[in-house]
Amino acid sequence: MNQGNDHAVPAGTRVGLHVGQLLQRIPGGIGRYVGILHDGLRRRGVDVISFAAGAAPAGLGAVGPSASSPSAPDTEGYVDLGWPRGGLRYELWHRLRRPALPIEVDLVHAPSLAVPPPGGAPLVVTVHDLAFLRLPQYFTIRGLRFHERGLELARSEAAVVVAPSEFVAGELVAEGFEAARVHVAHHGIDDPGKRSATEVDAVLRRLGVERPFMLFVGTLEPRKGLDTLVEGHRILHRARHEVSLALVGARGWGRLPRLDRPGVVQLGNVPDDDLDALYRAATALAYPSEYEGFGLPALEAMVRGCPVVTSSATSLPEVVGSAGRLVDPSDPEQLATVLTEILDDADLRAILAKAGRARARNFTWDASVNAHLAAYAAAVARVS
Amino acid sequence: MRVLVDVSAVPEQPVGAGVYIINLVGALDARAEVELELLARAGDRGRWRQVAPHSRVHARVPEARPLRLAWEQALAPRLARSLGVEVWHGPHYTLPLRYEGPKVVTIHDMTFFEHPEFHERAKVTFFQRMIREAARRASVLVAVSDDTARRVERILAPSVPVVVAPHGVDRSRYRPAADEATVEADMAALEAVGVRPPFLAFVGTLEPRKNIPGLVAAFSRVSRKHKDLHLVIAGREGWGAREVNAAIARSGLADRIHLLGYAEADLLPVLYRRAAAVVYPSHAEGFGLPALEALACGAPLVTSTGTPMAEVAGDAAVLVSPGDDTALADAVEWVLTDEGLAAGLREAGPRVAGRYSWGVCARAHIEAYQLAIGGPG
Repeated sequence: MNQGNDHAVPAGTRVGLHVGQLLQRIPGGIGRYVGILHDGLRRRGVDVISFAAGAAPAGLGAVGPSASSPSAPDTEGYVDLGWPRGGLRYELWHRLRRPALPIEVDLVHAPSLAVPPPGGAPLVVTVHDLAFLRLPQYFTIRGLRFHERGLELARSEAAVVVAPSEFVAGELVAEGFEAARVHVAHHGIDDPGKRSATEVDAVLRRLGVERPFMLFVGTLEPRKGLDTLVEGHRILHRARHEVSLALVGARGWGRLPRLDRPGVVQLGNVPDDDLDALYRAATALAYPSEYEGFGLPALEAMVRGCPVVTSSATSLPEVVGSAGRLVDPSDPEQLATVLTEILDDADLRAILAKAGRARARNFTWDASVNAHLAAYAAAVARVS
Repeated sequence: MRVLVDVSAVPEQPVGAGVYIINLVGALDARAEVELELLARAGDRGRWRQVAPHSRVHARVPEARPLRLAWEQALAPRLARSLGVEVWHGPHYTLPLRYEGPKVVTIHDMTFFEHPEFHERAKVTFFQRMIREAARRASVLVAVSDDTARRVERILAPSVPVVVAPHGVDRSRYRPAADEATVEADMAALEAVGVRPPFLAFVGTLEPRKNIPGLVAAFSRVSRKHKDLHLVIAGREGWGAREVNAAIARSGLADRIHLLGYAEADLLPVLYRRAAAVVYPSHAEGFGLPALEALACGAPLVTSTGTPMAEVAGDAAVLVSPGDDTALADAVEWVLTDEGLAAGLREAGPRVAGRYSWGVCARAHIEAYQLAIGGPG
């Protein structure tokens, strides 16, 4: 895959970044990525003009060392595209390639498959995964058409495509994208620092979660391997009544297994601080997802020393390396066996915690922003 | 990070380890954080220029193997020092033992220790000694599969880290036939080498480790029922190829067994895609690249239990204990007659192969290099 050679983005390049994902009902991992990328680019002094159809999203946090209050949304440099909003605008973009963007930029970055018409500027598109091609049964017809059309636009219009993993880059190459046009930018993770045991305990009490527990983080939708997860926990729970399963994440769509069962705690979406405490307190992250383009929860767990049990499929082995335990995402017995091993073996937990922390250090947002800058530079160079 | 990779062991017609080195170098060459110095055989400059256009090629290593290995020990360290390299990578078992800088060595398989009978005797002595010494002096070892890593740990008990970097597959070339045009082009390519479906395919060098006599025996069993079935064997003759020829002669099926010799890279995906089954019954492999390539192309694969191929394929292949010719014949028969099974395997293969890429392989190497230098990590 092309990693760009170390050309810099020409000084003064204005980057138009579509941040519509932050206005979605469930911004999810992509929303987090867009917010962090936006802030990271600004911190590097890149002239970012963010845009979406709606009021400035709260997810665009503090930016740059000059920002006085780190929690105040930065509305400077944000353009509200106005009506039409939401899905209708995306339909128009994808079908008619209009309305045109009312902004003057040197490059347009679509960080998801909602691909705006770039005008004359070079276009960069981030393709997070090709789950819609590989597991179409987990998508609505509408979702499928939307993603397929977005991918076609990326294929026909993007100067550069960014993938969050080598796995997705390989998927794109297998779909006929030239390797030279595909750049990989891994997601990153910030050092979460230390947190006192009292604070962590207080969060658990408030949420009603008791140790020992296994943690799952992600939108509750079929491709996350919830069938395997819930069945794996049921097997584990038969022998070990004290072990609960805490599910963090908004309910997505689609057929899910029954979740109101003994020992399963549904927490819905929780604030970042609570999630941080859950990772620190969990016996393991149980994340048997069938398909991920990256798998940020695995990284969030590793950086906090939470052992990761995840699936041997798609991008997950690339993210956890040998620092976690890999299982077949269709095998609940195996999941239960591995979770039991971790539960019963304090030495193993310590080894996985240490390996996870070390591995997580390889993934920084700084490196991710660098990779994006290299992708932008390549896009500008390809077109000019 | 300035890295020297010794690519002088890659032969003109690469398979397995050679394919790994070429693709690794290509993937590293594209990475901004790596500056590559390639140490190549004299006269091999052109190829490496093409593989790695951003890297420097030092085509200084003598052609003949004994001289080449002596040169590596005696003269290479000075070259590395003069280039200011931060880490030396020997991608094929060997290292300049007296080079004092950070060193990484790739160990492909441990068959020189576990199965000396599969190798020429002179090589066994040399490689056993060399692998022990390299493992003792390297800063980091790279193993090409979990299986190899476990064997390295057991036999050599190294005191340095072992990083697992599985091989990859280029999915722009190794992929299922997506459209009619590809199918037509495939048929034309087969026609050119005198092969017509239905056929079983084997890809690999003709040597004892590959268990080709077992394959021929299994073929002769299934061929009784499948009168139009052929067997295609693509690979150059290694040492001990005489046994293969004898097995073919004994089978009385010489007219239905095609020995293609070394197959150019363009022909391989065609063979995998159009085969009724790819049969890879090796006794032992370090990784078993043809199995991964076959999966990426959506070929129904029959391969050996207890090998890295079984680890890679999981449920996407039919596994047979190597050496059990009857079981091998039964497995092939099963794939040929159970359409549901074959369709399931064709669908599962590309999915399983998806997690392997040369980009992932290159990233694992960069981690190994950083570990060797003592950088972040």
